[in-house]
Amino acid sequence: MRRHRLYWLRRTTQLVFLGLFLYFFFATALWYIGEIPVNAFFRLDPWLGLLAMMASRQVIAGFAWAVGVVVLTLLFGRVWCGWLCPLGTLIELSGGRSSAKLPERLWALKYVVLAASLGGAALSSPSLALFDPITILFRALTLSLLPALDWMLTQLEILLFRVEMLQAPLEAFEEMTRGRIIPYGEASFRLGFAFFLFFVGILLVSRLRPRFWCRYLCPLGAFLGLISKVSLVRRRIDERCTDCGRCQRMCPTAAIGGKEEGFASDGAECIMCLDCEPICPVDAISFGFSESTRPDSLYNPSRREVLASLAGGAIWSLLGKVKAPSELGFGLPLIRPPGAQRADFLTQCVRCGECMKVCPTAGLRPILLEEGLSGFWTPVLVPRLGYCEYACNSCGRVCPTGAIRPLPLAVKQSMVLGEASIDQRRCLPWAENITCAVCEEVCPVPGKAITLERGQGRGRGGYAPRPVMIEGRCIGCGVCEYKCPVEGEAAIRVRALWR
Amino acid sequence: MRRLTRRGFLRMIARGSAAAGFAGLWWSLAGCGPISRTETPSAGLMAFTATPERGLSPVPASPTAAPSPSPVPLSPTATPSPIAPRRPSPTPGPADLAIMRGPDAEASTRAAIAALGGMARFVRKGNKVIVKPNICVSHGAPENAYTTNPEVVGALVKMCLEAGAREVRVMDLPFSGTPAVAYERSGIQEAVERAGGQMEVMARMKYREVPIPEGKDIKSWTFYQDVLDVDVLMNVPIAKHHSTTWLTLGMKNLMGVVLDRGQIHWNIGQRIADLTSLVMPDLTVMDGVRILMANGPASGRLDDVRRADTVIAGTDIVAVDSYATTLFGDMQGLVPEAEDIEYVRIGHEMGLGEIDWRKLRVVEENIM
Repeated sequence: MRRHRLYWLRRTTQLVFLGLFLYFFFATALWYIGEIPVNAFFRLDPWLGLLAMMASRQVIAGFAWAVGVVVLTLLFGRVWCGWLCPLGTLIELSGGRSSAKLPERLWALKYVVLAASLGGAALSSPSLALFDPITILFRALTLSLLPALDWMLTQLEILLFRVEMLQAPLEAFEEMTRGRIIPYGEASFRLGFAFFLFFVGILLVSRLRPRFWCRYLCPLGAFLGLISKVSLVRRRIDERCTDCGRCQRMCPTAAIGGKEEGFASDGAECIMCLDCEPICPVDAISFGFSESTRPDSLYNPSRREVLASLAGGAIWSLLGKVKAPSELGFGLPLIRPPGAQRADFLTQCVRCGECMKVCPTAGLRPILLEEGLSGFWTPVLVPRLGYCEYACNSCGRVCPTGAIRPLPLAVKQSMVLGEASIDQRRCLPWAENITCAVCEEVCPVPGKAITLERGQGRGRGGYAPRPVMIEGRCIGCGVCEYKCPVEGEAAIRVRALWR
Repeated sequence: MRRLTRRGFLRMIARGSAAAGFAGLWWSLAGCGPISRTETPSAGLMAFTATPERGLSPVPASPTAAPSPSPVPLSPTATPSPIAPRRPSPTPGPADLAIMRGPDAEASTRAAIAALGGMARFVRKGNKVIVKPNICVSHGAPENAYTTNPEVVGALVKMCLEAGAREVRVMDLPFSGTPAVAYERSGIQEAVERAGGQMEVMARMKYREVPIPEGKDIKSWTFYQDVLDVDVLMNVPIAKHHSTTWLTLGMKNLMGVVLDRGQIHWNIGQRIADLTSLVMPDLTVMDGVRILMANGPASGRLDDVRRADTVIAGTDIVAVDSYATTLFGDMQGLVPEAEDIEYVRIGHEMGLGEIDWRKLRVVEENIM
């Protein structure tokens, strides 16, 4: 099969960007995030930026890079999709041969999702950022693939370490990968398996139709597609075309129209993979700047369609405002990451998963509906699973939209996330007169937020020292709840402070 | 039947591996994490995984007795592997307990070891050494006196290498914070690497459940295997206030070599002595340069730190701890004595060492 002369450049670029994405992903685990712009791919994403900025009604400087992608699209069309998008690369790698027939109307669905997301953002909810391909890939890695890999490798290590001969190579392996590729602490997210299915589903469904996601669902693709309608570089068909239809059959995104449209392509669907050019037996196809001799087909939705899409978007965003009972006061309030204690946090969080990845104790977890649809998949601290490490301020440093504000460490250490309280029915010194006091021991606040009430004789003869909260000192980091050695629910628990 | 071409064979292998990899991923995701339990509805729908930190539910007990469960086993089929308890057996030397005072921590450390007979008394050529300082948290700088003075650790690493050690590894498992960050923030990583040693993050795969034959309360626990096997184990604690035990000294520093520390607190004096009976270090060097006088073990303010400018070294861990109690003086109206520190007293009673340090051959000097 003949290939376009830029084919290998395209493939290489795809792999380089996928590799770069993975590098940034693993680098987000490093404590010293430092100079590496680990959230680069999010900041390149113009649709994500638009959502975040519209919903929060402010300009977010971090998305300046995304302007570059917009310019790139204005010049060259949807090259992001065909050359740069890491999810697109994975989809293409897992796709089957093209079986494109006549374009189905289903491809308009991604414009509906786009319109819905913009409608939602207009009403301050960027929650449809969930469908951004970068966030999907990042979340799939964070919530399912990396924990699974970590668990598998750690179990293998434990198993193989019993063999004398393997101990030295295993030690070397540990040193190379621990903290760099596999995290220090094990984490498993309850939504991991479900999200894995969703992610694999996106890849597998490409066997049915190549680039299924890109074609029918991707709202970023839709956004860039709209911009591509006026791009400078276009696919052109000249008079040599013999109407054989080969290009239409092999186009992975079914961008090429039929005989009635003169096999011209829709600029919004074409991902510039360039694979159609060498296919043409009469060399009628080319990509370039000049006007096409046959006109491009235009997406020409009827007025009804457009109105229906926007209305769908409005309805979605209104639905998103419906709060689950927890926010009305029946459930527990939620502990947000340090730097996210603001009423407008939800308007800026694009559910990317960066904070969950970087959190060294895996304490930040996604919630479902505990704060309504508008809080779907936003991060919450679950102290029993992971405490907020006192010496860490990483979440604010990696958040691409500033939903979690970057805080200097000293400021972060005085941010109050919540307040711990002791359950005297479960606490061992209180309930069973057994010495414990682990909570008081680990409390990192200078001067401690927990004190020990003692009997006579320093615990010998008298009763076991009982932990008591000191009013006003607790910052809600949750290390006490995490370390409490009682099984099940901890005897000291942090609850978010009511705003 | 169609002949299997080489390409067909390779394709079959590739597909098989992909399927196996996929199945492995599926299996590990489904089994990901140890025991999972859903919480009560009042706490929401969040499931959590139990880590080895948490153990059995509290057993009702009389006020003086403590529950004595065994730790959560690493795996359902793990059987404790017996290891002979460590006992120090260095060559005889001129002194058993060295106390050096002076402003230069490294000089004091060197003088203390020299007074005991030099590092060659403890480290033979080609030995593997583990230095176990106190790196209990990641949020303190050396000035906070939460973690062992890096100069003391660095000096010891240098001396071990000078005595011909093949490798010197330095490690601890913090009770709060990421190990790698703790190593760096405490200043110990830099000092160790400059001295030619290496830091080691304690890996999950190296923990073993080991029986404690002399244990009175706990009969087995989960230890870091290397600490039990290594040629020379050097315990380098820092003398600090502690909320439960009053002071944390050398015996308590050994908690860093076990995996599950939560339940040790339930009968902390006896259990620390039990741990010590298994993993007694060959040499204990107590950092008394900066000591934490209040809000220990790691929540003190800077004015809770006092300079005692002392380094204590000895082979008898009970004696070292016993002497170290004299560094503190008045602590909120009370003056600690060796008998007040439960694990020291019990250690003496169990025969792990001598609480009356004056009975040993002591060398005490001021190093200028």
